[in-house]
Amino acid sequence: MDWQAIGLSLRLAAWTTVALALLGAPLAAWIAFSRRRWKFLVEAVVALPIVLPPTVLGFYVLLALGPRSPVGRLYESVSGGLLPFSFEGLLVASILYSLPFAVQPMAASFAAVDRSLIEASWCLGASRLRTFQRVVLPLSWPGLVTGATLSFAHTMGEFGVVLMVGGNIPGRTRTASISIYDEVQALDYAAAGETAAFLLVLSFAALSLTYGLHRRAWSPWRMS
Amino acid sequence: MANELSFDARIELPGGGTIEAAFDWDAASAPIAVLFGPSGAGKTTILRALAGLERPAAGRIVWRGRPWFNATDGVWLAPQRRRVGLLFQDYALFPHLSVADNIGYGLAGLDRPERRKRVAEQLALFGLEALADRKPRRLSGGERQRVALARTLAPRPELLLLDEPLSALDAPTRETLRAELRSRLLAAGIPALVVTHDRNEALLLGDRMGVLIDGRLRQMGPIAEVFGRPAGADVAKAVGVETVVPVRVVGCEAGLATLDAGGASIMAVVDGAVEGQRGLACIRGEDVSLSIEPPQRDSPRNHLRCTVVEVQPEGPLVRVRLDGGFPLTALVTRPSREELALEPGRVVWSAIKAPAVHFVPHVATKVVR
Repeated sequence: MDWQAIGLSLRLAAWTTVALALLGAPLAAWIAFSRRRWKFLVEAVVALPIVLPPTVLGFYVLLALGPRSPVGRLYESVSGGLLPFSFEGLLVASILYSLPFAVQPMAASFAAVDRSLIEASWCLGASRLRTFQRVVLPLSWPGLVTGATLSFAHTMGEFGVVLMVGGNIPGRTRTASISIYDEVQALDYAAAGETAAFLLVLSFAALSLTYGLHRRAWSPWRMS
Repeated sequence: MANELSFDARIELPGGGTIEAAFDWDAASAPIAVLFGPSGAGKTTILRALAGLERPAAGRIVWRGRPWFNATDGVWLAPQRRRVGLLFQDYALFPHLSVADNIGYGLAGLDRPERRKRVAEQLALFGLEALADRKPRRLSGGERQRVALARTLAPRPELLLLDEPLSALDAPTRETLRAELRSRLLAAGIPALVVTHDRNEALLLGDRMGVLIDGRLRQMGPIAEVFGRPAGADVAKAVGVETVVPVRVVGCEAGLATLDAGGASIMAVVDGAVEGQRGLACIRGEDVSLSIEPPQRDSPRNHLRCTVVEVQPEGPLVRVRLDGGFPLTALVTRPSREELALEPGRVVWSAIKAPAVHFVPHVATKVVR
């Protein structure tokens, strides 16, 4: 088993999950509560990675992060390095790739919070932000856990985007799924099988946790 | 007389239709106002506009000289800045917070010891000390109502808005809490606007009453006046009781109470009235029969010598306003009007059976705090 690749994947998935929790929650809140007419466009953009071939997404991310793009140049001037074929570049791509898996469950559970609880909070003097922290977030935790679990599992298994943006540099951008591909190419089926089994078990565990949680979802706070 | 609340607004509903209401309310002399009307008339929408949750399309709302909403200048005060306490129909208790934390939710601006003191005060006032650590789902309907009211009162709002405060309760609990709610509201000393579709609730709780029908506020005035002089047939139909008189129980024997209505006495069948108790006597117009001759004395029946004040045709019936020591309204048929030659100034005898007099206990407005 390629522990180096698995370690890299775990690290990437962990960072992606943290980043998506911080960036995804405000975006999900906006989607859940905004009444803008063009909201559907934002929703469509967020959902794109679900249907887009990973190579297409990876291609555009590669262009957007490249040394000739404004983002790439800015990053180069700040850090001195390049985004493509680096762990940081991979992280940016992963965040975009897993965005819907974090944002959609979060937005759904924010929107499911009883409107009168939010209004009660306002009438008791709490600002919108405080209402979000004290009422919406605590009542949406199954959606938050689902979002985090799905982004983690999804990042663990990504292949196409990683290959396009990160390439295949051992220790830097070679993730578990790429390592499996390499091992199969090298006809080392035993090693590929071990890594594959690891990913299978991990994904199954993550999804079991999510669905198990939703079975009992809301019950801790249910009114009657 | 200062009108503390001045409301004149048109609210457009997302699904089409508009709610229009204009009223002034002098909360100092009539601390509890009731917004009465059938379900779907738009009562809750008006309450939400007052709370800042629904923005009207046109008009203005002024509370104690401060504009909350003014369509012409684009003034709109957010709910957080109105110091209004809104009691939701389903109470909207925060399910993840304990009773004490629910009550303390609106006290975020205070320091910790002061907050704790206020929560303890409310817990004691509503007899909730033993339930302080419970989550709302483990409370009964009546307990939830008390927690919700305590939570609404804790930040000491300037105005209370109660949306069908008793409708989420089962019938026996509702009876108990209905009697207790008015005293609690008066004791809190905060003007309250109560929305209800229940006539008894309106009578029991309110000093003033507005009648809302099909999105229009048709009438607003003192309770007895709205019942006695409805602004139109639709209002009369909605309120359903023509005479409402403030009375005092002066005697009670074998379920039959003698009520004093400013000199005139009325017999009523009352269960468990206490001598000296104040309340309202409610009489439907159909239950008042008129005759020219003084009628034979027969058991539990009220006979009052009345002077006709006004005669008003109303569909197939005629509304006859009488003075029998207190304002009394009778509904008679057109032929009886002819037969009795009912004209203002004429003296007639009215008869009302004692069971037709409905007594509603009503705490006097002025209370010693």
